[in-house]
Parts: sequence; structure tokens; C-alpha cells
Amino acid sequence: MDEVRQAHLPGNFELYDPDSSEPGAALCKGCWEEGGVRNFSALDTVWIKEEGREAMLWLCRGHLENMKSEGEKSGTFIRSVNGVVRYPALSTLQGGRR
Amino acid sequence: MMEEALPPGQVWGKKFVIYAALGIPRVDPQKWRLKVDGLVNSPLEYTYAQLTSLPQTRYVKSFFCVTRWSIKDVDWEGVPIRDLVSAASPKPEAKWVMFHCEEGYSAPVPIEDALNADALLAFKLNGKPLSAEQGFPARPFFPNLYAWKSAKWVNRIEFVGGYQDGYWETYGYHERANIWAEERFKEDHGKPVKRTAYGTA
Repeated sequence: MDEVRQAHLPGNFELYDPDSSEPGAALCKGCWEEGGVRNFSALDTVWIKEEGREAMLWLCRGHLENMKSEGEKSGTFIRSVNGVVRYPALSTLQGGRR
Repeated sequence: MMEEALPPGQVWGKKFVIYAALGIPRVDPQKWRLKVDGLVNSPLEYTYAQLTSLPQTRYVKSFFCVTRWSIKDVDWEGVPIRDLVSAASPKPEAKWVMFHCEEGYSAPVPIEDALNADALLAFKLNGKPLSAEQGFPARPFFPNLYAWKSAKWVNRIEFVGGYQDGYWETYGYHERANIWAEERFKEDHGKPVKRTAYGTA
């Protein structure tokens, strides 16, 4: 059975199949951390600012809405997009040198 | 025979998981060049043919991904990085080495790890030239660092004075990434790493 592991995108989780060379399915970070629930459905990606650093998180719609409402009050919410974005784009990197 | 020690938090896997954060570039070895520059006395540029005709080192060492999977006994072949950069004569003020790659990825490595005797610029993996997915034509390999530092499709080795984030470090991965100290994230334990703005250390 696939295990849940840290995803390469820091702070997130995905399934790990030791027989596969493909990264596994992404999980909702909120559902996994709160109750160990493997929720793969309708995930979105949210960008937040945390301790001066940008982070990208994979969340279900429910957790996204919570994050968005809290983050808009605290100023930590940046934006969200539908679907799972596994890797930051180079243009979003701070000071991204080539 | 004794089982090889696993660094803390790692598990053995069967296959490499292929990550390509910025895509898989298809590199023409005739056109590819490796630059060695930054804080050096004599910047260098190598062709693929020049590098692969240098004396090669071959060893078997395991591969450790920060996401905890590990591949046992990988056969690596390449040139010790310290051999290929020695002619560039890095300056004493060089403290970090930034590895730049074809597709824009970058990874900073402390100079003591980059110039360690077992740090290779690898051209072969398990007896065959690197595949495109594994970083053809070349990637550094650092046996004691998590694998995001062993940047695929490298094309420039830049000596710098101070630490600066590379691709993954911007998102929280550790500056040095030592596997035995379990330095996965910047807030992880391990020796404190001096963080300075680029060029100010």
C-alpha cells in the first residue's frame, strides 16, 4: 500500500510508491495533518507568506476557504489557483539568479 | 554482510523518483559548455569531450532524497569537482559554490562539501551516460548531502563569497543539507549556517 510522505514541495504531502518513478498523488495538507485523512479530491494550490518566506500549499476547497479567510485578515494570503502546482515557477523565486 | 547504514529518517526505495521542477532539457553535448567562474583567478570553460576525457573516478554510493526515499548502491562515474576546478584557482574569499543548470535551477553548496574528495561531477550512472531524466550531460553528486543539491543539467559552477538561496532553498530547504545531521529544512537541527547576502561574506 502506498505510504504518505513529504512531497518535494516543502510543507506538503503525497503518496509514495517505491515501485514507481513518478511522484505520487497529492493530498490535502489540512485533511492529512488534522486527522490523517487522505483527501485527493479537487485540490487547489494556495500561496501564502509565512515568516517572511513564500510557501505553496495543496488544500481541498474547505481548507482553502479557511486559509483564505484567516490569511486575508492576517495578510498572509497571496493567491490561489485551481489544481495542484507541484513546483514553483522560476519567476516567482525571490532573487532568482540564473 | 552488514546492511548499509541509513541516514536518520530515510527509507530504501526501489526506483529513482524523477523530479524535474523546471522541465527536462534536451542538451546537445556538442554545444553544451561547463563554465567555472565567480571568485576564481582564471575562469574556465569545458566541453563535454574535454571533461569526459579527463581521468574518471568511479564509486558506489547511495542516493538520498530529502523526501525520505533512498536508492542503495548507485554506481557513479565522473571527475572529482576539485580536480576540474583547480585550474581555475578559486580565491580564498570563496565560501560557497552555486551550481547553475540549463533550465534555470540552482543549488548552493558549501565550499567544503563542493571540494570534498568524494564530490563528483558525474557523467555516468550505473555504467551508462546519464539519461536526460537523470541530468545529461552532467550533474554533481555529493554523497553526504540530500539529492536536491546534486543538480541535474548543470552548466555553470560559480564560486561566491556568501550564501544565497537557490531554487529549493527559497522555499525553505536547508542551506547545507547534510544527510547525517538531517538538515532538511532551514529550521532543522545541525550546525548553524551563516546566512549573508550574496557577495558580502
